[in-house]
Order: sequence, then C-alpha cells, then structure tokens
Amino acid sequence: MKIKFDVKTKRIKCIKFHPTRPWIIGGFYNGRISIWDYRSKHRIGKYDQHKGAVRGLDFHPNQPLFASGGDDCIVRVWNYKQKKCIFELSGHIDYIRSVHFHNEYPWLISSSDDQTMRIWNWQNRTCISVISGHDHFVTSAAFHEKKDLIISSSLDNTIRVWDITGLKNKYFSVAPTLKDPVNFYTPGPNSISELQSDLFGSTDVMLKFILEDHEKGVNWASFHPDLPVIISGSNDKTLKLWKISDTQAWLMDTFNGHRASISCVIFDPIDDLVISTSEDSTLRVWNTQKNINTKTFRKDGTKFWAVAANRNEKLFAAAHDYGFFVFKLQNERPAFCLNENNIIYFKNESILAYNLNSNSQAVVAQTSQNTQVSDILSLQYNPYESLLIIELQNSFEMLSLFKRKFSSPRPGLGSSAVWVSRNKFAVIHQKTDIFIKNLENKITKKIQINDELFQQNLKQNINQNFSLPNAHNITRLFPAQNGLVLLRSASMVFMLDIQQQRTVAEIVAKNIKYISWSDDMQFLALFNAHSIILCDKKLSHLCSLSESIRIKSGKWSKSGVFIYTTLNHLKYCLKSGDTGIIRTLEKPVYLTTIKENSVFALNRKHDIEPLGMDSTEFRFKLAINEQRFDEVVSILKSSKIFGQSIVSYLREKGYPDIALNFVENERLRFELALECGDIKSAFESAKKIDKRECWHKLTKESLKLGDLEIAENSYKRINVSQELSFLYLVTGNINGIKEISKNAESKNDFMTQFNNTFYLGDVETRINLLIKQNQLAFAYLTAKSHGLEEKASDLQKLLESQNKKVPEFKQKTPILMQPQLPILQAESWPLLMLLANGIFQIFKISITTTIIIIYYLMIKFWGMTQQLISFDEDNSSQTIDNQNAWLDGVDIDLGELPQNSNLLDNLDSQNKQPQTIYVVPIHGKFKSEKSFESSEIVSDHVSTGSFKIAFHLLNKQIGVINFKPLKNLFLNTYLGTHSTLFGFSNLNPIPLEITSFQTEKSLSIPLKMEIIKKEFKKALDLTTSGKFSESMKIFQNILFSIPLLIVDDLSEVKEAQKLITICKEYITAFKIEEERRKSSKDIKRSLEMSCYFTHCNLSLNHLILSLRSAMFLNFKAKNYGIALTFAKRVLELGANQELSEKARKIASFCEKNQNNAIKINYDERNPFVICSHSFTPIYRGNQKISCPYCGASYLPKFADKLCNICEKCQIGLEICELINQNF
Amino acid sequence: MQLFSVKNLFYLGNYHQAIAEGETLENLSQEQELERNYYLYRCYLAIGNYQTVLDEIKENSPSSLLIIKLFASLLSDFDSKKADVLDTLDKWKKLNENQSDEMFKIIAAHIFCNCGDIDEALRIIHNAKSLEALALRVQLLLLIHRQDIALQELKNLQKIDDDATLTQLATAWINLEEGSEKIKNAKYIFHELSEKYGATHSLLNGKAVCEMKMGNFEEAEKLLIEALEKKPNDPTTFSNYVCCIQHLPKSDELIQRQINKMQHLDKSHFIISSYNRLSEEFDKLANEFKI
Repeated sequence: MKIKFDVKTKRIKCIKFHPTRPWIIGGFYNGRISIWDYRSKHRIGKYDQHKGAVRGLDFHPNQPLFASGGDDCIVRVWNYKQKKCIFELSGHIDYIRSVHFHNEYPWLISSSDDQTMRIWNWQNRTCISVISGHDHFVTSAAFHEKKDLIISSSLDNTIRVWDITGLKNKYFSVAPTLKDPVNFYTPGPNSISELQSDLFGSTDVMLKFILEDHEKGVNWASFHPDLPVIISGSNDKTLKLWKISDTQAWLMDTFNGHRASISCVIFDPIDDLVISTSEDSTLRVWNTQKNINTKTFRKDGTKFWAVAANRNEKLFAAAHDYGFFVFKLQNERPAFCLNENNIIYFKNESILAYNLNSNSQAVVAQTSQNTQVSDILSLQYNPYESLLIIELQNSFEMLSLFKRKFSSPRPGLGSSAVWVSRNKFAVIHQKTDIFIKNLENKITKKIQINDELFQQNLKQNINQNFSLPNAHNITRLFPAQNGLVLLRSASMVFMLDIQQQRTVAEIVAKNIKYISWSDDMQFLALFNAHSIILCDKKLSHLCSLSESIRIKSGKWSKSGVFIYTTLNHLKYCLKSGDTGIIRTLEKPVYLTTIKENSVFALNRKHDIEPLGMDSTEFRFKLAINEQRFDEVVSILKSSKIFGQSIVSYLREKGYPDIALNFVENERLRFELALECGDIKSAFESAKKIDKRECWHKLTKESLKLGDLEIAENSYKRINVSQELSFLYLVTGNINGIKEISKNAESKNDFMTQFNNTFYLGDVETRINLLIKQNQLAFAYLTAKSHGLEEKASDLQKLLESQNKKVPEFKQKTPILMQPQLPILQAESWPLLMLLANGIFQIFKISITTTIIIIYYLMIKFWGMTQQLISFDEDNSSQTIDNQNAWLDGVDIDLGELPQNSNLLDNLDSQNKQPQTIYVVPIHGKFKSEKSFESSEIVSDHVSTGSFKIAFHLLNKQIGVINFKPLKNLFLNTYLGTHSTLFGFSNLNPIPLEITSFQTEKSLSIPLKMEIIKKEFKKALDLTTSGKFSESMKIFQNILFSIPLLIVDDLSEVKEAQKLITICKEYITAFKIEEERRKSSKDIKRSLEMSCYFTHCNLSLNHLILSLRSAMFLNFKAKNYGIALTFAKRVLELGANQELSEKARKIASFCEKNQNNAIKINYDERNPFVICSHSFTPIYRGNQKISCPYCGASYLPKFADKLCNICEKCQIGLEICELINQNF
Repeated sequence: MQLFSVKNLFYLGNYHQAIAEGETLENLSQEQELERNYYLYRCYLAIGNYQTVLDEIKENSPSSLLIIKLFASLLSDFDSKKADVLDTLDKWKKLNENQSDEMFKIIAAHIFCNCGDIDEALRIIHNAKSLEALALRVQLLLLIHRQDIALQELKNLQKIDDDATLTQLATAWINLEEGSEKIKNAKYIFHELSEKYGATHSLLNGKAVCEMKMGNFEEAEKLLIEALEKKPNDPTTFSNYVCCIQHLPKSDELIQRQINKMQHLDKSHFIISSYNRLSEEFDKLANEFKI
C-alpha cells in the first residue's frame, strides 16, 4: 500500500473523491467541510455552515455541486465554483447519515436517524419521496449506478434494496435524457406500481429485498457498480457479500477479521477486492474471489470512519480520527529497462521487448507465475550475457532473454540487485552487507556496510562542514559505471568502488528513489517524487530543482537534456538548471527513451506509447547555454515559436542581442537594444516610439558609449538647446553652437543665446544682448571686465544719460579671458561593447584564447618532442640482449628438465630455509608450434618461424631450390601471425599468436585466396595495357605465394592449380617476348619467337593481340604462308572489325602467294610445347621434362637447373604433391 | 587511499599521470611514502627516465628502492652493467633471503627477466603473496608458454580480489592465450578498463590484439594508430602494427618500409629480435639449398 497524501486534521466522518478532478472532500465531526487537491496537496476550500458533525457528502457527477448532511438535520447543496451553499433541504428530523446524488436524474437521496430516507429533486428543491421501512437509524443509502435501485443499511440489522421504477415513471414518463431507452420504457412494473400507488398511497418506491443475516446493526452497504453483488459491514464485526438477482437475494460469503464495528465498506471498482474500515484501527483489503484478507493496514490509536474509491486513478481514501490519507493498493509503476534499441518491460507475466527501430514488440521471456507487476521494483538488463535481473522486494530473479526456448527464472535472495560489471552483480544482504555475486549466484566478495568501519569510511570522505546523521543506513543500490555501484542512504548517495571497497564520491541527496544515467554514462539524474538533482559521473552537483507535482520518471536525451514527466507534464531540465514544460500529459506515463522529436513512454496499462514533443525550446536554450551560436541562429531562422518567456530568458541569461532578433514590440526592442549597447537599433526604435523619455535615455546611453552623432540627433529631437550647446561646447562644434544661437534668436530665447556667447567667447554679442534686455549695468561691467573700454565708455554714457548709477569696477585691468577656441572638432568614439557576454565579445575571446592555446600547445609540443627525442636516445642506449634468453626458452624440448645447477641451488637453499623446493616449470612452446610439429603444411612452419622445416617441405613437395624470392613472404607471414601484449612495464611483453578466429586451430595467415585473385586480375589488366614486365612480376609473385596459401576446400585447390598454370603460361609468353626483343637483329629467331608466343595459353583478347603481332611480323618478313595461318586464326577467333578486315586482306593476299621468305623453325600443324629455357619447340613425341611446380616444359638437357618460369624450383625433380589443404 | 590511484595508473600504463598524482600526495605515513616512491620510480623507469631514478635514490634508502636504482642502472646501460648488476643482485638476494620484502623481490624478478633468466625471476617471487607478485608470475609463466600454470595463478588472483585491475589484466592476458570465445572476454576487460580509467597505449594495444585475433584488422589498425599517437615508436605497439598491416591491403613497399622502421626500434624486443634472427636464418638456409 502506497500512501500518496496524508493529512492530519481533526476527526473526519465521511470522505469522497471528485468524479473527474483530483479533489477529495471530507466532512468533519466539528461541522466543517474541506476540499483538498491531492495532487498539488493543497486545501482548496472550506465550508463552515453545518452545526454538528457532517456525516454524509457527495459530489455531483457533472455539475459543480456537492451535497452534505449532518447532525443539524439539514441537507445542504453547495456550489464549489461560487464557494457557497446554494440551498438547504429540510425535512429530516434527526441526524443525517449519508447523502448520494443520482448520476442521471436531478435526485439526491439522504438517510437519517429518523428511520427514513428521503429522495429530493435538487433542481426544484423539493422532497419527492420519503421512504420508510427501517426500524432503526438508516446508516447509509445510495442509488444504483445503472439500475433503478436503492440500497440502504440500518441499525435494525438489515440491508434493504428498493425499487424506484415507480418514482422514475412518475417524474419521467417520457425520459428525454435516458441512455438506455429499452430498459426505461418497459411497461412491466409500470402498471403494477401505478396500481400499488393507487392502493397504498406512496408506493413510488417499493421494497424489493430485505437482507437479514447480520447479528448487529449494519453501518454501511454498497452495490457493486457492475456485478449484481452487495457488500455490507456491520457492528457484528463481519462483512457480508450478498448476491442479488431480479427476484432473489442471498448471502454468498462472510468475511471475519475485524475486531470491532465496521464503519464503511466499498468495492474496488476494478479488481475483485473489497476495502473495509473499522473502529479497530485497521483498514483491510479482502479478495472476494479467494475470501481472504489480503492486506491489513493498521493505524494504532485511531478509528477509521470512511473509505472512498477513485475509479480513474486506482486511488482510495480513508478517513479516521486524526485526518485522512489517499492511498494506492499497489505500485503502478511499470518496470522496464532499456537496451540499445529495445525497451524491455514486464506485462502479463512475460518480459517483452519493444524494438524502437521496427516499432514492434515480442515476448522474450516468461517470468514465474507468482511474480506480480506490483512486486517488481526494477528490471536490470545485462546485454553482454542477455541476462535480466528482476528486482523484487527482498529477492530477485535472473532470467535469460532472447533465447529461442524460454528458460525458467533463477531466484536469489537479497534486495536491490544491480549489475556492477558484465558478469557480476551486487545485492544488499540483510541490510548489513553488500554481496558481489557472479552469474552462478555465488558470492565473490562481501562488503560490510552499515557497520562501524564502513560508516567511518563514509564519514571520512564527506566534507566536514556538513552536519551528518550519525549513521548512513544503506537501503538501496543503484547501477553505476563498471565496477562501481551507487549506495543510497536517507540523506546521501555514495559511489562505491568495488575493487577498492570504499566510496569514491558522494552527493547530498535526500530520499532518492530513482536514478537515470545518460546514454554515455557521463551524467546522472537522481530524483524522488518532488526533487531532481543532476550531477556528473563523479557525483559533482550540477543543479537541483524541485517540483510540487509528483515526478514520475526521467530520462536523458542524447543532447544532454534531462527530460522528465510529472503527473501531468512532460518537462525538461538543462544542466544549467533551466526548466520548462514541453507538453501536457493526460495521464501519468513513464519515460523509457527519447528519440529526437518523440519520447517513448510506458503507461500504467504497460503499453508503449510514443509521444510527440517539440524540442525547439530546450534545444534553443541548450544552444544558448553551450554558446553554440550557429545553432541558435539556425533555430531562430527555422522556427517562430518564441514568446515573452524566451525574451525574458535571454535577457536574464545576458543575451539581449539575440532577443533583439525576434522582438517586434518597439518599446521592448528599444530596451533590449540599450541593454546590449546597440545604439543604432535603439535609435531606430526611438524614432518610432518618439517619446521624450526614450530620447533622454538614448542620449544618456549614447553619450556613455560615445556616439556623439546620435546624442546630438536625439537632443535635437527633444529640443533641449541647453544640453545640446553644452555637448557642442565639449566637442568643439562652434558652428553648432552658432546655429543654436541663431535659432534662439529667432525664438527670442535670451538665456540660450546668452549662454552660448559664453561658450563662444563672443563678448560683443553678449553685451548687445544685455543691452537688449536693458541690463545696462551688467553690460557695462561685462565690457569693462573684458577690457572693451570703448564699449564701456559708451555704456557709461548711456547709463549716465539714463540717470542710472554706473557700477564701480574695482579691478584695474580686465580680468576675464576669452575661452580658447577648439582646434579639432571631436568625433564619435569607437563604440564600446556594453555587455561582456555579447556574442561578438565571446567570439573575440574565443579567438584570442584559441591563439593562446595554439601558442601554448606549440610550446608544449616543442618541449615534448624534445623530451621524446631524449627518450629515444635512452631507449636506443638500452640494448638489452635478452633475445638469447628467449631463444633458449623456446628451444628447450618438452621433456627436458630445468638446468641441473639451478636444481642444486635450490637444494642448497633448502638447507638454510625450511621451505618447499620451488621447481621452475619447464618452458613450454607456442600452442601452434606444438600442434604443427608434424604438420606437412608449409605455411604452418613458416608462420611459427620453423623455417628449416618449411624449407625442407617445400623442397620435397615442389622441388624449390631457390628460396631467395620467398624471403619477404616468409618473414611477413611470420610477422603477421605474431603480436605482443603489454604486461608490466620494463618487462618483456607477452608474445601472442594471431590465430584465425574461425578455425582457431591454425594461425591467421595474411595470405588469402581473395588477395591472390585480386593480384591476378591486376596482372591481367597490366598485360592488356602492355606492361609486360610489371605484370610478369605479379604473376611470379603469385607463383611464389601459392605454396604458402592455405586452401579451405577442393574448389580452392583446383582454383590454385589453375592459377599456377595460367601464371606459367603468361610468364612463358612474356619470356618469349623478351627473347624476341633481345634477338631483334636476328630476324629468323625473332619471327620464331612471335610464332611461339601465339602458342601460349593466354586469354582470348591477349591471344588475339599476340596473333596480330605475329601476323604482321611474318607478313612484313614476307613469310606469307605463315602469315596466312595467323590471319586464319585471327578470323576464327573473331577479332574486332578493324583487325578482321586487315586479317581478311592479308589472308586474301597470302592465299595467292604462300611462299615463306625466311625459313623458320615453326610447324603450326605439328603440336608442340616450348622449352622454357631455350625457347625452342619440343614437338610431340620428343622427350621433355618439366618443372615440378609450375609445369613449365624443358628439353632434357636442362634437368636439375632452376626453372626459368617460377624461378625457384629444380627442373625435373621427383617430388611429392604440394600439401596446403586445411580440410 | 590515493595510493590506489597511483598504482592503478601505473598498472594501466598511464605513467605520466601516475607521476603527477603521486607527486601531489600529502600527509602520507612513512610506509605509504615508501610505497609511493616505489611506484613513482617505477613510472620513471617505464617512461625511460632512468637518470632521475639514479640521482634521487640515495645509498641509504630502503632495499626496495635501492633495487629500483639497480634496475635503473641496468636499463640505462644494459651491456656494460649486466654482469655487475647480476653480481650485486646476487649479494643482496642473499642478504634479503629471509625477508619477505615483496617489493624487493618483484623488482629482482624484473631484473632477472630482463637479463633473460626467467627461471630465476620465477624462483625469486615464487612464494610472494601480493596481488602484484601473482600477476607478475602470470606474465612470467606466459612468457615461457605455460598458460596451464598461469591459469592456476590466475585463480589465486581471483580469489584474492576478482575486481582488482591486475586480476582483470591477467585474466585478459590468459583469455587471449586461450583464444576463441575467451577473446571477447578479454576485449570486454580492456574496454571496461579504458572506459573507467581512460585509454592508455597498453590498453589500446590489448584491444587491438583482441581485434586481430577476431579477424578485425581494420579496427585493430585504428586502435594501434591511436596507441602510436599516445606513445610514438613504442616497439610493442609498432610490431603489432606491422603484424596488423600484413593482413590489410597495403602495398608491399609500405609494409617493407614499416618493417625497416620497426627493426631499428628495440633490438631486444621479442618480435624484432625474432625477425632479425629468422631473417638471418633464412639467408643461411637459402644458401644451403642453392645448387
């Protein structure tokens, strides 16, 4: 049982869920009614009008209403939107025990201690029926959800079922809103009820059944919403299950268990369960099928008063003396894990894999039958071994997945099983140890936790500044990287290194329930229902956030954004701590994986649901955070989603310049532009806004940044000549000041003009101005103090003439100087970058830093190379001559004992120390060296380095005498089959043979048939293009290689033999050609050669080419007879048109004249082979010998010589066959 | 505690970082200090910085450090010092005979092995109990191709601590010897270790050998090139590279050039010395068969 929301208040007597909203309503013993939102966990309303206990409450199924009844005998109907009682229904004369709305008709039923029930029409607020019959308090009354029935329970020990068809027909003879017209129009009981009503008065409601079996008063009875069964709870401490049919009702079962009166009992609308509350401080869950009490929840010192069910969410609520709580009977979190492209999850007693690529699912294993969905805490998959661990409460099961035949799960004990490496997992054993187990479920290591030593170890590592609880009780393990495991205590999460058996990192995190690693295992999210902590793989804190709504699941996206679900939202959290909502969710789902623009989630029915999401927002924020401005720009270009929130986000992050790009509101643009110091844009915006305060702001900013032009312009805009002239003064713009003066003159602005004369040093104008304003005394003094005596005396006269007093000028000499005139006029300064983190600024920094980095690297690298050079010197001076040792080791035979002297040494030392003698093991050999000892395959010995044997074999098998050309082949084969492995430093590396992975018996010889074939093709191509010497080299190489080739089947044997023959033919042909060129002066010989050339077994196109040259050469030499034979052969073989044409001409010419000018040793009609040494024909019947390997023919006199073609074998040697089969 | 990291880095072949971490360790007890220095100096030897070791270790240092100095002198000038070193070692061995200073014995085994006397190396550490000594025994046994005994040693190692880096490495060595399906296991081990502690040239080599044994020579080539970037001209890496390119479609010229380059790296290296020996042997044999 999982408690979701626990509220401590005063005694609550009744409780109900809202049919659709996440609300719960409770009626207090003291008369209050409160409504809570159990998701956000807030009270959202309270209603205090009842006097005395509230015992009955009900929400209307679709109107914003609820009804209540209590000890003040009044039924009140409230509107929760208006937050007030909208009317009262009076009639009952004793406590009201329950109220219930009909789900279709505007009816409300109430039951009362006055032994009656009343049905009210809440629309016209009248009582339409009073039902009497019970002989004691009626403790509960309710409508059936679908049928026209009422159930009531009473302290008279009975439960009664009533038929209200009559009442319905009375008020709804034509029922416009009824869903099931057939039922409601059946006239059957209609007439009877009418009859009854006529006979007995109020018989709108007819008693249908009386259920009597309880020994004491019945406190509650409910219908099952779908099935024809009734459950009742009584003061006799029993629950009774009744069955009803149309005509009968009978007792089915009695549930014993409660120790005191049962206060309330309801059906679980989905499962076959009954939940009852009692005054014995327990809440019990019963399985009606098996007639057992499956769960008991005890809350000592309190009495339970009511229980309610919420069908939509499988939630229940129970009310007791000190409040109430909302709970779930079982875990609804689906267990799942992810493996590359498969979501592995549990459904219906089997493990399914949902393939994300094909979007299909398949059952991959079967769990044991006892395993319930709700028992599974987690699934942990090990892809290396295809093993799944199903974590259960205090045990686990191991299951092989993806096997053709389902294997049964292997159970094991220990809680919180997690994989720690590919062949080990960890479990907590009895809260005291962590056991590391291998795949056989055998313990390989025990790590004591929760003992003193370990606790000390934990504390040592923790920053001392934290005040810590005394002990860290490790209650759960979570997976981490290989060899590590996360331990959870109530307030911390530790990372334990299994090898070192100590914690290597920790983070303060309270009550973490779930974790999620990013795909690359670099980042970790720790979360529980209300908070998320993101950290890196060393558990360094990145950010935390809290959520008021329950967090359900979370997953890292590939881009490093943590996506999570709450009860009703899909949200994201960046590593910087920025969060936001991606979309709303209709019901809670559990994220399994994230793919670009969609997420795959498991819902509570254990089905995979793909959900679309718009990732633009978080991608944008991520790009901003990671300062990938190119992406920012591309997102800006491609989407138009941005609103105020993004603008404020950007401002907050200090990127007003980016925000400026997509803000249209001028006012905002202006602000942003000022913020990022973009005076030009600000000016543009200001022009559009054209408000005084904007211009003021702009001038202020532009002056700050030194943009004089804009400052000037904006001063002009708002017409503040004082400031403007001051600006002109400090920037030395005399003309500007003059202009202002002129303007001022036209406007008769005396003060401005006067000021400007000061700026300009224009005394005369100033005096004139003063005169104009009739300030003659001032004017006189001005003139005097500037030493303008003439003017002064004029003014003196003027003053005197006006009979004014001439002010006394005490100074003897003029004291005021003229202001200096500026030499240069100031210009706008280069604009400052206002923001340190503007985009361009960043670019600048990054450029400079790159330069620094490069520079730094250069220094480093240079230093390093120097270092390296010195290393090299060290290495080269270190010429350790331990190869002899190696060879010795290798050469010792199996049976040989360790050297005697060593043995004696040992015996000597034995006298001194009483230790057992250590006999050094006899040196072994490479595996293949041993197994190939008697092999007859040449390459086996070549690859193991036993060249001597290889030589002998080659000599014996194919008569090789010239090994020189084979040298590289031999050595490379050896190199290609030997590698070494680092062990300890400064120690000989471990030699390893490269065995072939498939067969494992043999070594992996680099030489392969495919490679040879490729070479062969290359040689043919070269031949076609006339590069004879190059292609001959390749053909010869092929001949060299084939003896070392290992063939795998008969077809390859044949192929190899064919290759040898073809190579031989081509090489022979090339040799003949060579001979022809050598003897170009000897026409006879050269003609002979060209003829022989055509008798090599070449491929067709090459043969035609050879015929062509033989034909032309003989024709030129006027050997028409022979030329004719070649022409005929060309025509026979079907050459291309041009050549055929020529051949035809030659043929027709030669037919007339078949004389041969030069007699040569060539008889086309007599079959012959060519001696590859003398290049003379050996006609059939004559004796010949051949090369044992390539089969080239020779005259007998060349016996024992080196074959001219393959260049390695002894001609005429008796041999056995080449053995290179490996099958 | 932090000594673990230094040792671990040393075993994995990340010598520079081991030195960096070792040098910054503080608040060490006398014992820990000695151990730290022991591994630091071994790291110096591994990167070829013999002079530092020769300079820094004083004559009055404990035997476990003195022997490193001895080893350093051997490595710095093998041919001329070999006899002296073996002589000294023989004396010291007798002095230390009754002690069970495993740190001393391990280096002594190194010296013997370097001088070609694997038997003596095995003998001196035959009853050492530490993880490192056991792992060293595994390596020595593999050097004389006795993987059967090495396997027993490995079992002892696994009994002591199956998760230890050395156990993992030794498992991988033996797995590679065993071949076939076990190669995958070795591959996982190298993979895991490099995931956990970062790739080093020796782990990359290990991975490459696994790939070669599985027939993925292209993959192995990439790994070896990466390893060569980490430690250029390393004879083991280079000879593995030469081994690898034999299986790839490379031109003969390129292969021959790499072999020539390899020949000059370290004549004492197993592959290189074998190559030179076989090359000579070939010429000799070829002459014998000539008519």
